[in-house]
Amino acid sequence: MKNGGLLRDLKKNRTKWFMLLPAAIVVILMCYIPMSGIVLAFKEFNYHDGIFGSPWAGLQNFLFFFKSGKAWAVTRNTILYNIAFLTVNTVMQITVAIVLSEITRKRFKKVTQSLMFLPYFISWVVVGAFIYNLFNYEFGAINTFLKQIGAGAVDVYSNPKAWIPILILVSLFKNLGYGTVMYLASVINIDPQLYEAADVDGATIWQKIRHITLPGIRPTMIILILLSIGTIMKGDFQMFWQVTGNNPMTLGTTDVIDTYVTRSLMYLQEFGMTSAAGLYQSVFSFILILLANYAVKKVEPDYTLF
Amino acid sequence: MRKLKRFLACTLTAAMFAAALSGCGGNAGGAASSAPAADSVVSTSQAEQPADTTQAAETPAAETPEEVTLTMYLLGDRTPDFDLVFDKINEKMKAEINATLEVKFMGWGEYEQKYPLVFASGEDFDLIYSADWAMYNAQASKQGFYEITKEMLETYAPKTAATIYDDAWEQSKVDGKVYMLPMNYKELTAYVFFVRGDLMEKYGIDQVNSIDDIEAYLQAVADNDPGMIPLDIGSDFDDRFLYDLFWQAEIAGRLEKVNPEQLMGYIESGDDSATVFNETEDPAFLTTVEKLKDWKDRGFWSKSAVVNTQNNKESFAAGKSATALMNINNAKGEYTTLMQAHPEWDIRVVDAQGKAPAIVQSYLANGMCVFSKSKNPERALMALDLLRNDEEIHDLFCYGIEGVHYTSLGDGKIELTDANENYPYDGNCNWGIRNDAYWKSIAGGIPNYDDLYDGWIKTAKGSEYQAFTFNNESVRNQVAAIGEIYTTDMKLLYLGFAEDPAADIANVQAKLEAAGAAEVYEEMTRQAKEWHDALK
Repeated sequence: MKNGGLLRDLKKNRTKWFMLLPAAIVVILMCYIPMSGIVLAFKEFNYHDGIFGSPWAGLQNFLFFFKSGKAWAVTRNTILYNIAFLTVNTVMQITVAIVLSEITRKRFKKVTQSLMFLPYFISWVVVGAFIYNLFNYEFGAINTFLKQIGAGAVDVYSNPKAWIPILILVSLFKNLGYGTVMYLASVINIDPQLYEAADVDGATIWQKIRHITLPGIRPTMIILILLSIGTIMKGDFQMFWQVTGNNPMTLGTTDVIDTYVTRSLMYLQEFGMTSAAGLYQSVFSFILILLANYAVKKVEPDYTLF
Repeated sequence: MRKLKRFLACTLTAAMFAAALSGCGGNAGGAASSAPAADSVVSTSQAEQPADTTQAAETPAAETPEEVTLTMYLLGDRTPDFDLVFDKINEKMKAEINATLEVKFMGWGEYEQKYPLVFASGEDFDLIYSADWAMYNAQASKQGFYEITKEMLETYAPKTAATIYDDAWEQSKVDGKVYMLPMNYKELTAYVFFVRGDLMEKYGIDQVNSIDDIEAYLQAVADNDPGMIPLDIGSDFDDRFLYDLFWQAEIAGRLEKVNPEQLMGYIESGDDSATVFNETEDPAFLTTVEKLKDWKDRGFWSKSAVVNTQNNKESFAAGKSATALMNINNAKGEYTTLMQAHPEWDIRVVDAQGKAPAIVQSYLANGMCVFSKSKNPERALMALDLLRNDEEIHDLFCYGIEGVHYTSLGDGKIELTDANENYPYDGNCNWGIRNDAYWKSIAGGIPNYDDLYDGWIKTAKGSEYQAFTFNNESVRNQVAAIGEIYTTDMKLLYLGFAEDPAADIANVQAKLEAAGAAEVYEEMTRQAKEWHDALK
């Protein structure tokens, strides 16, 4: 690029550019072109005039979000939950990946890996049904068990605090396997000679994990975390809606931006307002990811996304 | 070696490119399908031309030279014999108007998301089921439907023009324009309880006739049978059922309801200023919530009711609950099915209305609309005319094939056959074309049905403001905020989940105020008064 600009580079590295093409086409078609739909957030949409022909609405579409005074509470919930998910999931995924990598019995390893991966494919609707049948007051599995052993029944659905650990555990249940596979791949890629050298030096298993494995998977870790920060403003709608059963009694601790917007606009069907909420999330996510990337650049310039 | 490398690199890139192209082909298809959305904006303005009355008059209605296939969207699931029935309908349609119907279904689980999408995506369809509860207003005000005028009806749907009820026509107006052909069918909404005779006997209850008897029955079940939920109402279909019954009994003759339901507006009967206020402001609301809380605290329904999305009749059918509460229109079919499955239950049908008058439904509770970008709106209207007014087609759509799905007993009565479950009576989203003139009811069924009906019809009434439709354009943000309160705090109150009713109501009122309810009711009052004055 330094000498001769883009054209020259295109010619010089044409094979590389050519190989980039498929990915670029997909991103342009699926991400950049639809992005023009952002304009909806500022429009009063009607079918007849379409997305670009509908009259302008200024910032009107954003108002509903702040009208009820819940904007701050749901934004805070969204961010805190995502931070909690990110921390708990990452720690558990790395732990399990390291444990699995230390296991030498092949069959056991494969079976465990598959079993942990399985929940990733279970729909949230089904998980929601599990949860309901566990926690239902009258005939849920937990209360039936408690009654059997003579303890009193618990009413989980009217207890907002209970849902914080439940949601974190459910998220772990669903995402553990997926992340573990990512980290496992990265652990396996570490040069075995390093471990052999450590063995010769008489390192314990803990020392090997601390000084070889963990630093070895650091690039993967940082990239995965940075990518998750990009979605920190987005609550996993299906999860929050289905697992809590859209329960009005626990909203204080379970309401995230996505569920709040859905409830508000369920009857109104305003595309403009939904787009406005989406834009609010995207802009904040964008700022957060820029900040995080900047912070990483200060400490570990090699591992940044861009 | 170097040559080989180069060759490999070339073939690899070529392969990847090919893969990308094929992937791209799929994408291009997606892009292309969204493109007509923009195109058809232009083309509809042309397509609309022939619909102009001047030109319409030149084209005689009977002239249908080219054959067209009309796409019709219905709600629900395709029943096993649906296509069989529609083959028959299409046979006749083809002969009469040279058109056939192709029906697509939107399942109950997905219609709330999918319904607005078929309008926005630029999909090509012609007819769609709609109703006041199924987004009629939302889509009509976004120009999703084709405007229907009296002149068009006379040209393309003469039988409908002659038979449509005046009230029905007036009610379907949104901002003075009609976008729907509502059912030509007077529907009475009244609720009934199903109670089990075997349980009554077990707990020594002689008779269950009134709400008080129901209370005693529910109490008996709650006291004696911990494995059973007395009445398993939940948060989805039936969250308002009991509330409505209690509330209607309190306000009968005193307050008039203003749609839409989620804005909770009421006007005092006979108030010429049409001042709209929130239902929680009426003192009777507190009484109602206290009663609901009392029933809930006595264990009449589940402590997890707010997350129970099952219809209470399913629980009842499964033997998990002792009582079911449902609309009489559902009750007819349900009774027959349950009596066959569990004759030992000895189900009794009890009037749930009590002091609350039965409601004459708005005609908009069911109807059919033409899509605003339909390529054949005239033919669509002609098809609707046949569906509504051709007795043979109407009967096929509503009850199935005579001799297969039902047998006619004459005198407007029919008997269902075993094959009826493959095309359930009045259960194929045919509701939008129901016509009183050809309506047939099932013989047998609920034994005391006539008594119940006679009791309801005496006092049945619709709200004075039933036909009024609120245009929320200027207060959309407030409406969204109120809608949120309606699905959360209000839902809890409707199900009796209140710690301290008076304090909870005050809390909701404070939230409503913050959401800008005052502005909404002010605007509603203005529009309602205008509408009310225009009637005189």
